[in-house]
Amino acid sequence: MLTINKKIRITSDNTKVEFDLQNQLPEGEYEVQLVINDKTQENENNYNLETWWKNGVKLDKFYSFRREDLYSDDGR
Amino acid sequence: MTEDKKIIVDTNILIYLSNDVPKGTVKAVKKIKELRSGKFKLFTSEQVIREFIVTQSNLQKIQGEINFPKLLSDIQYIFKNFIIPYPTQISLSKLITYVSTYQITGKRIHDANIIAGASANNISSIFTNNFSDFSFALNGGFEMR
Repeated sequence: MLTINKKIRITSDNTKVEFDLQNQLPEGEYEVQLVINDKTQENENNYNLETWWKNGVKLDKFYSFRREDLYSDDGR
Repeated sequence: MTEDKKIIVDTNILIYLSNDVPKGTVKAVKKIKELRSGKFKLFTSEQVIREFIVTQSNLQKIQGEINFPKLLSDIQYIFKNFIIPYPTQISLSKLITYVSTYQITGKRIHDANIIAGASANNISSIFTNNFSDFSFALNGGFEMR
């Protein structure tokens, strides 16, 4: 299964949408499902990569977040 | 035609990007900007997203209470900004090969599964803070950033 996340802009010609496949798929027939979410302006959060952290948790020190630790204590 | 440059972004990096982590966040933001400037396509994975939700909700719980709207916004952000390959028969086969070839056991299987998923999608670079966890993959030509 392959998921493509992409923003599209609907213009006056609102009957066609084009996608570039990110992965190389073998030739053959595939089932494709296209889901169009709500308009971005109504659904967009205000994040970008530079500011995403500002709304997050402030930690007092550095943690490595290794899987060794992650799978030791999952908080249950 | 040049081949796309692809890189998978590890769970720890997503945590640094989405929280204020001393010595983690600034470096991660800087590196991501460099990768984007270098025309890298940013991938993550189903496993990374699952681990992100676990870690992020635990961090919020430790700080007081879980902010579900914030948690969902974070997940939406990841979906919008990263390409997400899903596990396949090929990725599972590669995982089993790694286990056999490099004699990987225990919790290291989780690390190996990240590499298996990446490799199954022709991704040979990973952006992570924890290089040593993926040292086995260097033998297969994997690149750490």
